[in-house]
Amino acid sequence: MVKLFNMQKKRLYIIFSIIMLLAASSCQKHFLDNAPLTQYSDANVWQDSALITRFVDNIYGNIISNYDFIGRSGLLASITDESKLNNPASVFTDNLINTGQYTPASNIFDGYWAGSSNPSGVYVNVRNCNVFLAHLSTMPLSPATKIQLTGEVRFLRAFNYQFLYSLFGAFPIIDTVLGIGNNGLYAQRASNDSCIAFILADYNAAASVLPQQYFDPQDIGRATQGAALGMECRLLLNQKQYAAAAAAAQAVMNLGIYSLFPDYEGMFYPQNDDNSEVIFNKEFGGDLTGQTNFVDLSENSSFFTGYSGTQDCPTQNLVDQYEMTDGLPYTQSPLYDSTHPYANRDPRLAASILYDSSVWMGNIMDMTPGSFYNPIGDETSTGYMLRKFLNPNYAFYGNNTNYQNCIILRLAEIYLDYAECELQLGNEEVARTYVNLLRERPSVNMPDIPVGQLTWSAYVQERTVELAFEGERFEDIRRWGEGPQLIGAAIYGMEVTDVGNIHQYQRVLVQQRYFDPKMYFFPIPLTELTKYPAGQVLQQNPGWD
Amino acid sequence: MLRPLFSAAILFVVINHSLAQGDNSTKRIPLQEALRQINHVFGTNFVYDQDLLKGKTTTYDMQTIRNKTLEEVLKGVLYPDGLVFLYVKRNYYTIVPKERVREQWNPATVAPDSAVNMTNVAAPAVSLRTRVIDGQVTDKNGNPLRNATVTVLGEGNSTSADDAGRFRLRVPDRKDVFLAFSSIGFESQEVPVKNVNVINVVMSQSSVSLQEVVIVGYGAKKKEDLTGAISTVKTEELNENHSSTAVSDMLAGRLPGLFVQKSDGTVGTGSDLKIRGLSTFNNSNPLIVVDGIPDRTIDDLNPTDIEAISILKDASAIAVYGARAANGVILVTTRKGRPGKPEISFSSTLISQSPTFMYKKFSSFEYATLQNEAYNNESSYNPAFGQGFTQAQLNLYQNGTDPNQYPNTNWIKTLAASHLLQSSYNLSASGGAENIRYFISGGYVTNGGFVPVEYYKRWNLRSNLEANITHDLKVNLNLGGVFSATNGEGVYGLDYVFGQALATPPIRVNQFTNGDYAYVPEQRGNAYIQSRGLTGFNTTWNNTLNTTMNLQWDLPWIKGLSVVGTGAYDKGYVFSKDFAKPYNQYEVDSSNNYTLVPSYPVAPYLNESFTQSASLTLEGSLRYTTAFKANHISALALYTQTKATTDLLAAGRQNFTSASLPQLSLGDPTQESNDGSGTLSTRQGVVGRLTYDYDSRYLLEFSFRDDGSDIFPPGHRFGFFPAISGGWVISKEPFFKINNLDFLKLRGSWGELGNDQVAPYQFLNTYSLNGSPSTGGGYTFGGSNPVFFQTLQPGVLANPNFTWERALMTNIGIEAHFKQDLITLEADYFHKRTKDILAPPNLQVPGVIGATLPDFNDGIVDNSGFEIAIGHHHRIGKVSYFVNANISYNHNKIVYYPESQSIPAWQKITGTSVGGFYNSPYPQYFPSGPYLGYESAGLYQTNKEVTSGPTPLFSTAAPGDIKYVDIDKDGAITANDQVVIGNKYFPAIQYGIRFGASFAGLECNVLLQGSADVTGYNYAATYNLIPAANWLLDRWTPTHTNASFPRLWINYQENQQVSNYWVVNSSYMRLKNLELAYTFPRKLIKGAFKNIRIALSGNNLLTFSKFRWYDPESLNINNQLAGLSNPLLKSFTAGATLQF
Repeated sequence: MVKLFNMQKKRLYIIFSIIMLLAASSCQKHFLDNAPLTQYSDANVWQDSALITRFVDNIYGNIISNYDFIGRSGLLASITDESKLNNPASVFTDNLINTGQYTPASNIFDGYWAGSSNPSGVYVNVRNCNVFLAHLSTMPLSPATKIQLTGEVRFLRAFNYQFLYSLFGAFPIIDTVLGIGNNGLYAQRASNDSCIAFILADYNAAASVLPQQYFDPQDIGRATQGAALGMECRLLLNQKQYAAAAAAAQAVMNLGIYSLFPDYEGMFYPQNDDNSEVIFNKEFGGDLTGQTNFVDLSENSSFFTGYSGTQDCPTQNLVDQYEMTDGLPYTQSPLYDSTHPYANRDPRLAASILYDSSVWMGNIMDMTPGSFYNPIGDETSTGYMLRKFLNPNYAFYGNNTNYQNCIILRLAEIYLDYAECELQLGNEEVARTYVNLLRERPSVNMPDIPVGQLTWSAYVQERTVELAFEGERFEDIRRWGEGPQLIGAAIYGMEVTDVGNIHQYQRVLVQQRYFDPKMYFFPIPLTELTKYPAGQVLQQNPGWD
Repeated sequence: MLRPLFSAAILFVVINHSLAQGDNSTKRIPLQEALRQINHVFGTNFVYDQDLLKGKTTTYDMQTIRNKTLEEVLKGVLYPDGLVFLYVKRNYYTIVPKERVREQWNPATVAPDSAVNMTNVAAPAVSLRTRVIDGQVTDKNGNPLRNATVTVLGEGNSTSADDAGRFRLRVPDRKDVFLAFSSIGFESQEVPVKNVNVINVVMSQSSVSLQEVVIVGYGAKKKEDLTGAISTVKTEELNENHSSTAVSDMLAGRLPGLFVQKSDGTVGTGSDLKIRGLSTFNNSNPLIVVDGIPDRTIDDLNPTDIEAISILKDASAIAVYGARAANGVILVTTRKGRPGKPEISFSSTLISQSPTFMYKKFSSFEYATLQNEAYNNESSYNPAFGQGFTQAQLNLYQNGTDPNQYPNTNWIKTLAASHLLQSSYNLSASGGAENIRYFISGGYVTNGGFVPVEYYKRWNLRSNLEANITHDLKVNLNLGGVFSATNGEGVYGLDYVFGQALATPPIRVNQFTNGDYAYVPEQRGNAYIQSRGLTGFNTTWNNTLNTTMNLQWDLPWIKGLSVVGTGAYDKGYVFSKDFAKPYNQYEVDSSNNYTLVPSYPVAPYLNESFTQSASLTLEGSLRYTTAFKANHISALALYTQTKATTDLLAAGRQNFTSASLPQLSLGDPTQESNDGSGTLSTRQGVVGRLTYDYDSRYLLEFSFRDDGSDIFPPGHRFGFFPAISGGWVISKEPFFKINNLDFLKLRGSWGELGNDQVAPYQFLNTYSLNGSPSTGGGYTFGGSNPVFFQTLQPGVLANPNFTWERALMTNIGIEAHFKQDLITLEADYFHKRTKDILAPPNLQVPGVIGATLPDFNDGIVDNSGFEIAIGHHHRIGKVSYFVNANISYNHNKIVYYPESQSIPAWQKITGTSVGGFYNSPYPQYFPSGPYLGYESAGLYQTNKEVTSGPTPLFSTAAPGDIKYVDIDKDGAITANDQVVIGNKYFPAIQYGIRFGASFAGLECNVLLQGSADVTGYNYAATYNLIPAANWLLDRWTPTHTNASFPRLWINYQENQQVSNYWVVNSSYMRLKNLELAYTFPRKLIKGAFKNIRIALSGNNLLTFSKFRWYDPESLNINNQLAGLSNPLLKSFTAGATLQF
């Protein structure tokens, strides 16, 4: 018995030794040589042409467009007299801006400087452009692809800087790949002229190599020659370099590939993405791609979405800009009936704004407070709701998002930019021609402005109506120096009351806004300024110190 | 349990020739050495009087004993010297002179093992007179003390009490005979035998017994020999508290050095645990080690399966865990079986929980009135556009005549239960023989939420086996299974509905008079419907199996040397299923017409995800223990490696045709998505430890770990972390003569530890390919014919020198026992400097770099503090009582933080505390939320005050607004005037006072617990009117200027700024636990049960704090939803334990 016991013991020792050996043998030498399982590293990326193109595509994805403000801070329109944000300031920042309740520490547009959230801030996109350019010489790409991608990347870098300039003004120019110990980190803001010249140089370089058009669907939406020239035109106009801007506008028109889309309203619908009028846009995809926007979800009445509704409410100030169909302002036109104030208006009103008794997705919109469409707790703050950009076929569904492309630059703006330049240069007749082209758009059909009658205010009104909510007005106002009148405006709304089943309309003051000249440019975020060492701190914008 | 035997055995261990050198087989060797070799071969222990063997030798051929029977060998060795051996119990023999064995040994004294019963072999007559003493050993409650050791002082013989605590012992028939009684956890006693034949002994518990064995990292040690700072809580104490399903909740106030904080009462969640406060900007969580395996979880263990929980606080205690241990270690050991008859225990508790604090919500009329006041304060009162209410509307709210349009709803009352119910059931069995011991248990606990859709359920299974396969080969197999299910609302998950209901104003109606449910904008739906589960479910099933196998082989060649191999494999499966479905919600217009509003979602969707995780740990070690004279040495060398992987698979479909069945195959195949990912991490380490003590008087220990982690770059992967410690038990010195001070020990330690709880692989430039609804990213080209591309997004910039964070820790401690355990004291002071703290230079490197910055080994934090624990145990008559108090203090200071040099001194993070980083959503980047803020100077009272002082931040400032201090004295309040206000967001002090008494089966235990010197940021107050909380009624108005709340606002930012106006003192003390228990006298329950204990207890019964709005503890941890999420709970428990 003892013998047996000992044999078992021996066997156990053998088993035990085997286990220990196994344990020891698994201490491989490279046991710790791991790398992330779901991420690539430098070694993979810059030797792989497919990954390189995806790297460039990523910069497109991080373009900040008008629609990207929806669901975040509110449309830029809501910091001008075009609309009023309907959410409390604690949620979206637009309400802080137009009441002057902000400081450099208020986190206004901080993320657009260098934030990492989607879409990323400008300097993140600029770095990606610079990283691409730095690796250019060693990339395994065909010369043609290299030239093409370089053109796109330089367009994208210029585009991002232009966006940054539109918010904060002159900026530190970064055109190399910065490292943490790099002196270039503390680059000061360049002069205004240097900034503009830098952007122009990139656009020019892009324009010289990019194709005019793409025909393969997997390229449609990439930067083109027209896009580079058109953005130059916008930049130069905002610099009031009218002759140069006019030349750029002409260059765009001379390409001969753009034409006004006949349907003003339908221009923004997803089925008309990248239509003949579009020069550059941010593309949005399907529900399942993650690249979607919140336009319909956030701007529709909660009646349609069950979601907090009507983020940006158009103002009476804007509605009043829409002429009667006879070409006269409502104050002068015999067609105006104060009991039916929206009848006989420029068709662009109905295409852009939902007002009381508009028909929207098969419903007659009732704007009396407490109606289904304007429910207590989710009511419009002006008596109007946004209509432009919205998709009438939108079905609130699934994950709520929608995917019409956001038009960033279209031919109409080039016409208007050109008109403004010519008007400023004293060529009223040329300007009038281009303004009238817009009025003659088939779906608009407004009477021409007669010879000699394109006054400055008529031009401003035309631009206001045509480009309403498209995000350019803040820069327009800065260029025109109209801040006190248009940003610091008294904002009116339309109170709709039901008296014996008859709707009565009354203009009501909604908000007295606040303007100070320092507000033409936003303060550089304090959290950024404090990162600089003493003596090398970026110069804050005037009035924000 | 058999300590006298063991100490006798230790005497054998004199360094000597080993069996291997056996050419002198016929050599004369000392009897002691012969017995030692017999012990080796047969595993038999001997008890004898040392003098008996002195000078005696044998020529017995020890080489041949392996092939002989034990009795044969013993006869051969002992008989020639006139010695006989008597069977005590299995593997234990006592050796006595032949002449002392007068009569046949009575086998009834012990439970005989027939197979090895040697009684008859050694049965010569002995002449010495002896007699038999019978008795029973019990504790103060009358419970038998199984295995208590009874020894005849001065004689060799001893015995162990049986399961009923009974013993029978033969003693010399003299007058001066004493019996010594001892048992682990009890005070030893010496009782004179005198003339009696029956001795019943009641032993009193010594809760801080120095003889207690404490589990330390990779080993165990007697408490009196410890040189490190370790605190332990035992199962009995843990199970006083039944407030929650989570073990972490039961630790508050019980362990000096452990800071416990709970943020909300969501079902299934536990407390946040930190050891000795905070000492890094990064993750400060301690390492949790369960049954020797790091990185397991504590909260889902079954509390009744736990034997003890220790926290290891200083370098010497934790160095063996090296790289992960800088924040301390929580060691959990689960229960083991003890030899003896099976013990079956069933326990059940029923718990009723309710909020500790609930602030009053005001009525819809008050809400509307206050809204108007706020709009009027901003001159934006405009009822037509939803900015305020007309007088007519106010009247309707007040008189309640139109409950559809002008309701007054108390949302919490509408949808939440006033009490949560929790119940738990446990069944366990333990027992075994000398060679195999088992503890098996099954437990079930279910906790309902405030709303019916929320619940937490958990099933625990455990099987802990220990077997001595041979006398020198031991195997342990611990299997622990946890299966839990957590459910929440379909769209938003757990912990959503209650918070939504708190944040919804009373002017929203839930159910219209026609029975339809209303659409509530603030809730994006209807919280009542959500709370009832009609919007779907979001269930997570978490199944974990932890397996640990341990083989210990005591090498036969060298006494005291053993090889231990450990393999642990943990496998986890988490499956979650989120099925959301539409429901009917209505809107009513001013003419009382109803219409359906789309719910979210409009069509059902289902998302499922499955994660499997696996972790394999392999360890091999050599352990050596030896002693000569009073010198004791033990050594450990260990290799360990761990490989952990996770794999995720997720899929979803939308647009289900029907909401009745939640299976993926039923969803719209054109609306599907899927996702997957994986992680891998590996570690390697070598651990060494050398312990020496002389007479348990001078104690010394050196330990280290050379730790490797795959997250660092080649060349920086390994870190060496050593610790050294020593102790001096002064009370053992001959010169020490302080009456009644039985034990006094000084100890100290120093060491260096690591922390690698940071994002891995920061030495690589990484890129991820994005593009999915869940991760975002991707880009489409093609306009109206979209073509989708994934896009390549750069990750964190590389830092090639990325390496370990290191903590230098010093600890000094003192332990004293006055009159045994009458008064005990343990105090520790520590200082810890954490350097090379990984922090990104985000505050130094401007955003123009355009990249996510990697961590640099840059920060330095000092943390110091102390813990004091005082105990008092006493018995007066039949009443015994105790008081244990402990206090923990920590103070940390940021010595260096990578920040800008261009900010004013009063905004520097360096020099302040890391409290503000605590629980920060992005601790690696910034201090959390309200770290910087303005200093308030009360409220403006007059216009003159506004205009004459420094220019306010905003032109809209007016009386009733918060007045800020112009720190830089430039005449205007600007961002430059912000100061650090987040210095005390982590408590400097936590304490616990536990006391109790017992008398005749009745027991009462009380625990007071608290935090002090701590502030919290009262976020809820700054959320404007949203909570509709009655504290708003005390707002400033021109007629009520002595207000605690500023004038009301909607959009104005003056009062919305982060300022110390909203920083409140959140210190508290609470009656954490009160337990009343009764153990039925054995007479009453004889028969079916061994033991019946019933208990009533309460948790968080009373809270004392200056802050009365909501629970101050939830505020403490920088929880932005404090006051607006599931509240903390108090509970009442009834429980019963039956033992069979």
